Amino acid sequence: MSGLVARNDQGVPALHGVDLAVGAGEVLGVAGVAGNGQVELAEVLAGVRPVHAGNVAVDGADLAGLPTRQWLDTGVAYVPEDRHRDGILGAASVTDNLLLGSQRDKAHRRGGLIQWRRVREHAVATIDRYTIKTPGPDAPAGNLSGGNIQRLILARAFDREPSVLVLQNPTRGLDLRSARFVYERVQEARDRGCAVVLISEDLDELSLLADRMVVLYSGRIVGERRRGDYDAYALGRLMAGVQETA
Amino acid sequence: MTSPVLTEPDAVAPAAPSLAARLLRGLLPYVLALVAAFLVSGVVIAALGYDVVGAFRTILTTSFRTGFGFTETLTKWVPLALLALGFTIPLAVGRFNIGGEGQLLVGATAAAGVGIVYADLPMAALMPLLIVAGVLAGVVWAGIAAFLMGRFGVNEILSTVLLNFVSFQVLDYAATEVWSDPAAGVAATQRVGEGAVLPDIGGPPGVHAGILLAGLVALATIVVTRGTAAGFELRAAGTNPRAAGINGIRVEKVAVLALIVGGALGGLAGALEVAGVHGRALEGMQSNFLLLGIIIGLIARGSALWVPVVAFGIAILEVGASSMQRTVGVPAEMVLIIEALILIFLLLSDVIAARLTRRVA
Repeated sequence: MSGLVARNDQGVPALHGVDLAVGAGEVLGVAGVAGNGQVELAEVLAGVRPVHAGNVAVDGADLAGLPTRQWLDTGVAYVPEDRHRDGILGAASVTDNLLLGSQRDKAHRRGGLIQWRRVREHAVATIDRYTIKTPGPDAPAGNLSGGNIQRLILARAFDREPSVLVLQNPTRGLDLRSARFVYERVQEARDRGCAVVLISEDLDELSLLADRMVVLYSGRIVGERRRGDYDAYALGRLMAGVQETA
Repeated sequence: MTSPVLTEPDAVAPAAPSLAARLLRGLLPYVLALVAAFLVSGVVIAALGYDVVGAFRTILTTSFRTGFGFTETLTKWVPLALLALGFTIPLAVGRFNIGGEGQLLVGATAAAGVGIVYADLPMAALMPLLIVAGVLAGVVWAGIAAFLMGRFGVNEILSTVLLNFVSFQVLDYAATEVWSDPAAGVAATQRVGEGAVLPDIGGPPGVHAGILLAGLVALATIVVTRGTAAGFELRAAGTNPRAAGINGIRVEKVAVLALIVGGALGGLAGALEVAGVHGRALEGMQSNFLLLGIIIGLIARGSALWVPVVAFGIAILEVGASSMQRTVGVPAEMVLIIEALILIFLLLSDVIAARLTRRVA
């Protein structure tokens, strides 16, 4: 995992030359007040939003400009903030949702046909392993509770054994048990050598998980802190746009 | 800053309803919609002063009383099923192919052209050529709309509908300038060669062999949409384009392909109408297959599995309707009212079912 520079726009530029580098087995926290470019940063890092300028590289290979499929195959997994809108096919079954993104995997297909029985068995096992509460693998995913939808999304992301994991506000709106579940999975991923980018508005969450923290303000990185130097007031000032050197 | 922690009570999983109950719940709206549609149209027929019982009996039984009626029904089924599939495949990605008529007509024109120009070829060579020509013409026709949609974001409803009008002129040009047959009485091309006429199977009266191809296509559609990664991506892109895109599916590409496949089916329908029914391309051959195809697709709720079944039901009504005009004197257009009513009541039942579920919940 190597460094990345990203800049993008959404009609108007939302990120102005952001430089980030995350190492394998490291959790990089990105703090900031909502609306300072978090969504854009997450989507650029996940290969969903086109990179306007600059480059995003994984293991030295530049991914900018390639289709999302390519990013997924390289090992980038994305846990979006808006679970219902970006994370799942609400009307489709839990099984379908777990398959989403790996429907072209050789493991799931034979003779061009999806082996639904095997996919379903895999889904049942995953539901069990991630303790997803659902009436069954055929139930529509949109009917699950927020915590269980998040478990589903995490299960799908980890199933691909990602080398880069991008999460945005992964515990927003979750009950404590589900939130702890998310934390444990993130720590597991890091211990496995995954590079994690955790974009969050929750300083407690970032303090708990991040090995290093940067602050995003108005589309720029305005400060960086190492673990052990997470002073909530100092971070708060950065998030509000107060210049460090001023 | 901490995010609010909302505790969610872990919902108790409701027991999965039994298969019989699910089947009943699934079929009930259809049965009710059918009954209601026939009731209302019965009132209309009675109000017009015709014999209601006689009319309905003719509509429902013509297809099964005589060999001719049944053949006629199967023959109608071919373009209806194909155009309905051509409508539902793009519909799965949320795109509307309202151009089935135009795709059928250009397909028919191309097929007739091949059938006339290469009239001397033996059937083994001519028939595949004719069918490929029809399909390709449909692909090109829908491809125009698909390209405009994928490249410039032009609304596909508008472009497909407008291309229908262009297709009238294409056929008109072929039928009056290029291969015109002045003896036909209507704007029509000359007859295609011997080798371009599909043989009948069964009978007499038999159904043209194109029904086998149409059946195969319907079967393939079911297998592809339910069993392959492409079908999965089609459904995913339609269910939630954003989530599908985030998970690596190129939604716009899927939509463009779906529209082109829809056009291919329309073109195939046109080729089969030429080779199996008319032996030429002629003005008005599109009948109201497009409208009926859309109705079929909507009644089947886009399911590739149900489209052939619903298409058969609509073909029964269509064949019965023309017979009804002869025996009871009720105008054949009455059956369009029945079909529309079925659809309206079906949509209404959705609204009612949704209300009921909300009340129970």
